[in-house]
Order: sequence, then C-alpha cells, then structure tokens
Amino acid sequence: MNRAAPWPLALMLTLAACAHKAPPPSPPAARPAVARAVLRLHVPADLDAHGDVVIPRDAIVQQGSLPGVFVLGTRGCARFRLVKIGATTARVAQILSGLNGTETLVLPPFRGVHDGTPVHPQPTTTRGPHGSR
Amino acid sequence: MAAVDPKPEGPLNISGRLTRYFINSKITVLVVIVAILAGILALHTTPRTENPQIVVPAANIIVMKPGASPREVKNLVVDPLQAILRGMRGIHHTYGLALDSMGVVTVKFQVGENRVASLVRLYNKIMSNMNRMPPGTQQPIIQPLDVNQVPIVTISLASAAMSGVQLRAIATEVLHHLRRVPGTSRAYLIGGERRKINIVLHPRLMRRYDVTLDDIRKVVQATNVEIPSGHFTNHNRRATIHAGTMLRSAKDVGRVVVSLYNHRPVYLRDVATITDGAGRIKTVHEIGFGPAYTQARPHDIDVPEVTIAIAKRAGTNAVTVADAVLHKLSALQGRIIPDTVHVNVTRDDGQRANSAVNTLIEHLFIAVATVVVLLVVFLGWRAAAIVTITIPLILFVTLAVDDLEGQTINRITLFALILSLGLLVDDSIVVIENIFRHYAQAGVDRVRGAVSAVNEIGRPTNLATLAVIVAFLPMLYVSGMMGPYMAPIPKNVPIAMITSLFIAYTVAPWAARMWLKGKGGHGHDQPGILQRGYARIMRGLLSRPWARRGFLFGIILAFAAVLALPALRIVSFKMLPRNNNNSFDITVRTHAGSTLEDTNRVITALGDIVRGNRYVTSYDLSAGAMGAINFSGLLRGETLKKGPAVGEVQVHLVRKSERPVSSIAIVRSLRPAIDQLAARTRAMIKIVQHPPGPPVRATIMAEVFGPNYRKVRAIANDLRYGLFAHRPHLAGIDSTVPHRSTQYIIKVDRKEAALHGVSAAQAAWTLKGFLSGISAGAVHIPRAKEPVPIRFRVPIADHIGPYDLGKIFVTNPEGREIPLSAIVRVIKRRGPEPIYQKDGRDVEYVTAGMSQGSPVYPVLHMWQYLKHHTVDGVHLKQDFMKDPSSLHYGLRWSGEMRLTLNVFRDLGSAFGVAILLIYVILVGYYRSFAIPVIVMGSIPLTIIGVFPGHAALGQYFTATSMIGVIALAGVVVRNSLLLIDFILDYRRGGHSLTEAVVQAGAVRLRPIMLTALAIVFGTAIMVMDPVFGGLAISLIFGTLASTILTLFVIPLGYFAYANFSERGGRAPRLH
Repeated sequence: MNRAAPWPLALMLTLAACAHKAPPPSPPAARPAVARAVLRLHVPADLDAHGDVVIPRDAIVQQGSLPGVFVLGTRGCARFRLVKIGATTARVAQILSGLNGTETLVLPPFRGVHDGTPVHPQPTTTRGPHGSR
Repeated sequence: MAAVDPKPEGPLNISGRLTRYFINSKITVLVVIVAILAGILALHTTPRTENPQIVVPAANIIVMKPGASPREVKNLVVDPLQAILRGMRGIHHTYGLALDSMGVVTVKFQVGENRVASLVRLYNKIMSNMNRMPPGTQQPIIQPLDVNQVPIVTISLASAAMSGVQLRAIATEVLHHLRRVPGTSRAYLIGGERRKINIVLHPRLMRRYDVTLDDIRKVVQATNVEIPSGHFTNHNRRATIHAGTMLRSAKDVGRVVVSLYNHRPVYLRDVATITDGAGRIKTVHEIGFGPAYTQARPHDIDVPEVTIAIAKRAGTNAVTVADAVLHKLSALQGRIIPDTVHVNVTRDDGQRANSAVNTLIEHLFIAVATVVVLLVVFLGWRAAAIVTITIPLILFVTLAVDDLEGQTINRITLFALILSLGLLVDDSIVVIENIFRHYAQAGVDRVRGAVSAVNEIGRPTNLATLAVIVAFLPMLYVSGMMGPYMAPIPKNVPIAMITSLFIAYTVAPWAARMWLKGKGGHGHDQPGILQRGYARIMRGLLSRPWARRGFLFGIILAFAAVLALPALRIVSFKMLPRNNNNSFDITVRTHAGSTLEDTNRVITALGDIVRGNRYVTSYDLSAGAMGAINFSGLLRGETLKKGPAVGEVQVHLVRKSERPVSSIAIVRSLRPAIDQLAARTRAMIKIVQHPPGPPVRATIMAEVFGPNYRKVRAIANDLRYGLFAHRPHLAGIDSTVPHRSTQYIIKVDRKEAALHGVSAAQAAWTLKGFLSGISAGAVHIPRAKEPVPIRFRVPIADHIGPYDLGKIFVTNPEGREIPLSAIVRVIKRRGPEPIYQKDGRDVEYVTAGMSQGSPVYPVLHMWQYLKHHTVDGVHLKQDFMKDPSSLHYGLRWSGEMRLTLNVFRDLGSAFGVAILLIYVILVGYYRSFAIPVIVMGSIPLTIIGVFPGHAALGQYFTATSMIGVIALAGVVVRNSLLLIDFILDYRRGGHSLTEAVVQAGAVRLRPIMLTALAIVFGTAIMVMDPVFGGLAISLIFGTLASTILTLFVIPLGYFAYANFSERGGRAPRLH
C-alpha cells in the first residue's frame, strides 16, 4: 500500500501553483504628447439664450457611438467627455448636457489625440472661431 | 488500561465483530481501492463552487399602470397584490415599490423552499387573481430572481474606433457561438448600441408638406407588411405566394411615400433624415485598465465596451462550463473578433471556484502533512504510517458521499474536512495504540489480539464519536441564509466521523496485523517526564484540600475574567468578517434630475481614482444602467436599477494569491478619495464588497414605519442627517427618501381641445411621439441577429424645454393643424416620489455601510440614544425581531444586525441542543446523572481559551467562531470521557481512588495531548483565512485551554464526587 498514492494529485496542484507565475504588468500605454489648439470656454460668453453651452462643431468627436469632446484635464491630458448635443449649425453646436462652460476644449485635428493623451496647448485666442454668436 | 487486566473474553461487541470480519478479509483491500477510486472520481467530477449555493426563491412582479401616480399605484396595485401574495405558503417577505405608472412587488420565499414549486405557486396565485386587477393595468410581468441567472463568465469586447453598433454586432455573433457551449443557460449582452432605423423628423418640412407624425407612422406600418397569401397551382406545380412590401433597409424606409403634395409623392426622406445606426445614447459602458493590467494597452484610458455575460445551467460545473466558454472564445479571436478589439475576461467564476477549491485542497494537504509529522513524533514510523493511510481514505469517502448527494465541493466543504481532520485521526490512533499494547504482550495471536484490542475500546470510542456527531447535527437547523451556507459542516463532519470509525475498525487493524511490530517498541509505556510531572502535581493537589480549592477557585476566577472580555469589548462580535476578494463594486446614484452625462462624469472620475491603485487590473464603468449582476446585487434588488442617475464601477484586482494586500485594505485606501468625490459631486457613492456569506440589503438598515408617510419621511431624514451622520465609521449613509425633482405636467385643456376638434388622447400621443420617440415595427433584415426597430423621433434641439410646444402640431379632423401650445397648459410641480412598502406596510429605509468595525456596536449605541431621545417629537418604538405596531411610529433594525442576531440565536440554540443530546447519551452510557455532569465540565473550560485567543489575535468573535465552540463541545467531551472511563476501569481493577485518578491521568495524558495537538496543527492553516479564522482560533485556543485544564479539573471533579458519594452523601471530609 503506497501511502503517497492518493496524493499525487494534490502534490501536483501544489507544484503547479508554485510554478505558476503571474505575468508582469504591461508598461503604461504610450501616449505621445501632441500640440493642439485649445479653446477655453467662458461663462456667460459661451452660453446661448437658453443657457446652454455653445461650442465649435468641429470640436465634437465620436468615440464608438458616444458623442463627446476632448477636455483638457488638470494634468494637461485630453480627457473624453460625453456630451448631449442639441441644435447644430455648420459651425457651432449647442451642448445640452455634459459641459458647464468652464472647461478647456482641445480642438482638431484629432489624429493622435486619445483619451489621456498629453496635450501642449498651442497659443490661440481664447475666443473661438464661433465668435459670431 | 495497561495496568488493568483485559476483560474476560465475552461475546464481541459490534466493533469487535467488524474487526474480526475485516482483519483477514480480501474485502478490506477492495474497500481501500474503492475508496481511493471513488475519491479521485469525486474530486474530478463534483461541481465546484466557491460558496455553497443558497436557494432563495424570489421574484419581481412588475405591473404597469400608465398615468397613475405613485399613491394610486400603491393603493390599487401594490397593496392588494402584496395582500394576495402574503397569503401564500412559504413567503418570507414582500417588498413593494410604487412608482409613477409602475408598481413593483418583490416576493422573497423562505430560504430552502423549492424554487420551481414556489414559482409555479406564484404564477398560479397571480393568474387566478387577474380579474381583481384594476382597469388600465397591463399584464403583470413576473421576473424570477435566480442564482443561476448570475453570469459566471463576463467577457468585455472594447474598441474606441468602432461604433457601438458594430461592436455590438460582433458581440452578438460571438454570443451566438458561445451559447452553443453545453451547460450555458442565460447569455446576454450589456452595452454597445442596438442597430436601429432612426427617422429624425423635421417639423418644419412636415408642415411644409402637410404631413403629421400620425400619418407617417400609419403609412410606415401599413407599408411594412408581407403576408403568406396562399399558393398558385399550375402545370402540376405548386408555388407559395407572399404578398406585400417588406422594408429591408434604411433606404427602403426613406422611399416610403407618406403623402401627396401638389400631385407629387412626398417621400419620407423629404421630411426626415433616416439613419441606420445607434440612435439616442441611453447607457454608457466603458472599460479602463489599471497599473496591473498585463495585456497590450489601448490608446485611450476608458474605451467603450460591450460585455458578453454568460450564466450556467443549474447543476452544471462552473469550472468546466467556464473553461469551455473561454476555450471557444479563444478560437473565435481573430476570426470573428477582429484583432483591433480588446478582449478581456472580466469575470470567471469557474476559475475563481477552482482556485478557491485548489487552494484549500493544498491547505488540506499541508494540514495532513503536519498531523503526520506529529504522529511520527508521538507514535513512531509504523503506527504513524498506518494512521496516515486511513486519513485520505476517510476524506475520499466523504467527498464521494458529497458527490452522490449532489452537493458541490466548495470552500465550506473543505473547511469541514480540515476541521474534521484533527478528530478523524483519533479513532485510528486509539485503535492502533491498543493493538500495539496487546501485541506487546508475549505470545499473543496477531488476529485475536487485534480483535480483542478493538473490542476493548469499542464502546468508549463509539460513544466519543457519537458525541462529536451529536454536537454538529443541530447546526443543520440553523435558519435563514446562514443555514444552507454553513450546512456542509454539519453534513460532512458526521460523515467523516462515521467513516473514520468504520475505517478504524476495519482497515486500521488489517494494516496493523500486516505491519505493526509487536515488540521492541519505543518504550512509550514507560512514564515520560511529562507523565511524572503530571503525577506529582496531581498528587500534590489531591493531598492538600486547600490547594485543590484554590485551584478550582482560580479556574472560576479565570472563567469570570474571560467572560468580561466581550463585555468590555476587548472581543467584539460580528456575523462574518470581510473576505479578501478579487473584485469589488462601487455603485453610484447621482442627484435626482441628473443627466446621463453628469453621471458619466462621476463614473469617469471614479475610474480615475481606482486606476491609481497598483493592484487594479481593469474596471468596468457603467452609467445609465448597472454592469453585469452578481449574487449579492441580485438579492439587493439591483436588477431594477436603471435610468440616467445610476451607475456602477466594477473593479477587478490582481488575483489574491499574487497580491500581498487584501481587497479590504485596497478599499480602505481608496475610500478617502471616493468620499471627497462624493462630497464634491453630491452623488451617493457606495463601495460594495462581496460578503463572504449571505448578502444583506445593507449592513445597517433602519426600517421606519408609521401611520403617516410624510412624517415617516421626515423621521427618516432626521435619522439620516442627524443620528447616522454623526456616528463614526459609518460610510455611505443613504435613505430611500427621495430628493426633490421637477416634473412638468402638460394638461390638455378640455374646452380648447373640444373647440379645435382634437381629443386629449391624440394630443398626448403626439407629444409622446415628439418627446420620447415612437417605435413603428422593425425592418426585416434577414441577417441581423437582433431585431432592428424603426424609431421616429424629433431632433433633440427641437424639444429642449416645456415652452417649445408651439413647434408641435396636431391635425384635427378638418385637416387643420393646431399647435399644441393652443390646447395645453404646462404646470411645473414636484416630481412623483416613490413609495416603499415592506410586508404591506409603508416604510422608509435609512441605510449605512461600515468603513471598519462591526455594525453591532453602532446599532446598539443608536438604539440606546433613541430609547432616551425623540426624533421629530416622536418617540420611536424600536424592535429587532418582531414587527412594530402599525399604530405608532416605529423603527426596526434590520440588515446585518438582524442577521447577526438570528445567527447567534440559532447557533446558540444549536449549542444548547447539542449539549442536551450529549448529556442524554452520557447518562445512557454511565447510567448515572452525576458523572456526565463531571464529564461535560470540560465544555465551559473551552471558553477560557476561546475569548483570550480572539483578543490576542485581534479577531472578531464571528459565526464561525461560534461553530468552533460547538465543535469543541464534542471534542473535549471525548477527552474527559476517556479519562473518566480509565479512572473507572482502574477503580474496578482495585486501585485506591487517589491512585486511580493519578494513574488514569498519567496514562491518558499522552493520547489526550496527541488528539489536542492534532486538532491544533490540523486547523492552524485556517487561522489566516478571513472568514474561517474564527473557527480555527476557537478550536486551537479552546482545545489547548480545555485539554490542559481538563487533565486537572475532571479528575479533581471526579475525586470530589467519589469522595462525596462514598461517604454516603455526607459532605466530603478529606484526610
């Protein structure tokens, strides 16, 4: 009677558990910094008659099916912000929900801009190209 | 019994007969082989789960009554429905929720009620009462809440580049393949966007071409038909005919002619923009990756995802089903799932169960190894080897019995096995020791020696084993969810004990006959240093009455001091401590009236917070809906939560075996940042850690009842912001009292409507069409795997406020267009507020979680406070168990507190019953009422170890600690029983009382120590477990204290008793 006989299973499990090493975490995602024009929104200059924020239409991006804008975060990174878009013209779009008018928007081109990409603000006017409101 | 003459050869008892049959039999070998094979088979085939599956039949009954206010819904639907349902057998609680236009009743059956039978009864009850439903209510929807609905595998497909529709289409395809895996049941998708044909109407163009929404809807519905219309038969052939024009694409829809204008057709595309795509966004599901993520990272921080959730069929093995699903998934990768899509398995309960079970099997192995080392030290190689053979046999038989019973292998089963390990070696040890002693006598026949050795110790061993079994059995009757959760312990320990007894009488003597050497032993019959020391102390105590009294007095003093530990809160009570998990959830409820975008911002910020922790691998963000449901969420009623103000973050951590920090510590480190966020955004953020045992709705829960609901709300608010907010360590304080929100009532002015020839219903339907959109059938795309509905809506910008009604028109019978603003009035008022009910009574709940510590003490504090203070001028009548009176304002403390009280009450009763049963058995054995009391004197001695043990290790005294105390009753009785047995034997052998007491103690010292150490070492591995640590601490410290004290107290007790009775009942006067 081999007394170790019933246990090779457990033994193997133990060994397997010891041999199993967790793969190392992958390095942080490479998000090369880009230089983009930004637009700082102001209250009440960027509000329409209804009190909704109005932004240049080309600042809107689609991530998957989600409409949004890239907002410059506190750490200088572009962050995707979900917005609800109201009336749009060829140049401007009314934002019904998602912005409160104090954000800084990243402007196109959006190639190379992802959620979390560091953005160096290009010197531009704080008034957007939609100053015609 | 070394010094006692062997009993005269009489008829053999059952143990002796068993041994006689098996000692020479070939069947013994077969028993061994069958046990091993059955065990290995059971280990492989028994379904594995992490925790025992608790059957709690429950269902949501959802009744819609459009247009009814919450109060109306409560009075007409929720109240009567609850009354009907409460008349059913097996109902535990009913919970009612009356909302605007909708009522929900959640029925919870008693734990352990048959699921199918309960649901059939429920359907039957509702269907037979359909005639009592008030007019205007729709058919009730009955949603059974079933553990088997909880997905065991969730797979996230994420991509920032693809549209939600594309991603969902891929996920649908994947789902289609994964559904074919045997053993899967409910499988569904979360997130992404359904493909829709969106018809965005332009009111201006519609007016220009003179078409109304109603016209368009009718035309589209009338166009979108194709019906089988019979067949043609000619030329001896038969062909079927379909007539009609089915809409098959967005283009088709655009080509529908909606009216004629100046004798030219007006196409739908002339008045509307038609798109094939996502439509309006109602939920957002994203995945983000933490520092510990091990695969290639996407460019974006949070990426839109679709989650595939797959549940398993009841009774199948989660491990194999999950493996098969994931195997299939890897085959689909690259073929159906493009490489640009990030695939992550965010939940794998199969793997979780498997690793939990494997870890414990490993622990069991370690425990067996330690016990074996102990045996070798105490018994020598050969005897230890024989005992060691029996251990796996017993464990295997127990596992095989579980398999046959249809149980699962889970953590509790394995804890039961580890727990019984210390007990089950004992039978074999006793048998082998006695056989060894017999063999040591010269010229004994090996077979007959073994048989008479077993025969000799048969009765006390049977009795001792019976005592252990009897101690555990009452635990089967623990009520509530804790009963089935703990059930594997009272089920498995007795099985293991009975098996161990059988193996000890069959396999052990058989092996002893073959291998045990009779002579030249290890000289362990000579008294060692321990025995000599013990005898000296014992003689000293016996000869000096003052020392004896002093000793007993000291024990009583120690007992009293130990009981003061819980009273002084050096040892705290809790139901179950928290568990170290691989994931936790954060649920969010933003302020009433928040938009999806607001909620999403809070959710994204939460994602940013959790991403800061280095042990986070990934997290699922959900806004507008909850993520994949889990068991505790199911019982908390989270399936009902949706809408723009709710959200959830599910955080996944590195596996616990590869992480030095427990999830409890991780949550603690995240809490300050999350609390700050909650304060900043005014959102209700709760961290939900999966409880190790049965889930509760909230850790601390106050149910406020009373005759006036408005007053009840005021009281609940006061409790929340006054009493609860000022208690330390309470987190996530919340109540069901709603926030104020606004509602616009658009009232159709009847007179104006009549004057314009428009009905109120027509106006309301038009409005609905404009505000929330109208579905008009579905396009027929044969290849689509989900239906593609046609939805009409008006661009969002055209209906932003209640005062834009001038843009919407209804057409009266004369064909004149009437602006809605002409016939309606807009009233702004407070939004409808939900009404909660429990068991048919209006209630508001005030809830809180604990950031640390046990909920028992804050609740007791608040209870004390409310006893002496009024809230809102009302003195609340407080209750824990019984229903408060419906005439007064009352508060019932529910949540974990209630569960804790129930559990300790039930376990306490089980303990009481166990003690009673043990007493009855002992009385039967000794035929005396007094000796069993002495024997059972060792039970209270365990407490002297248990409480200080908890205090020393800083652990809570939990439900598992209590189970440990119950187990101890069986264990320690066994020791004192054998001790008294030996004393009685020595006395029958003609020794003096003092000598019998001293000798019996000295002889039994070694086996008693061996048993105690086997338990201590066997269970030591459990101490680190967060849940079962309490059990281990109880067992270890209780056994140690009780063993050491038993060796003195029991002989002294017997000495005093014997002295007393020998003096003819006079008070014992010694020496």
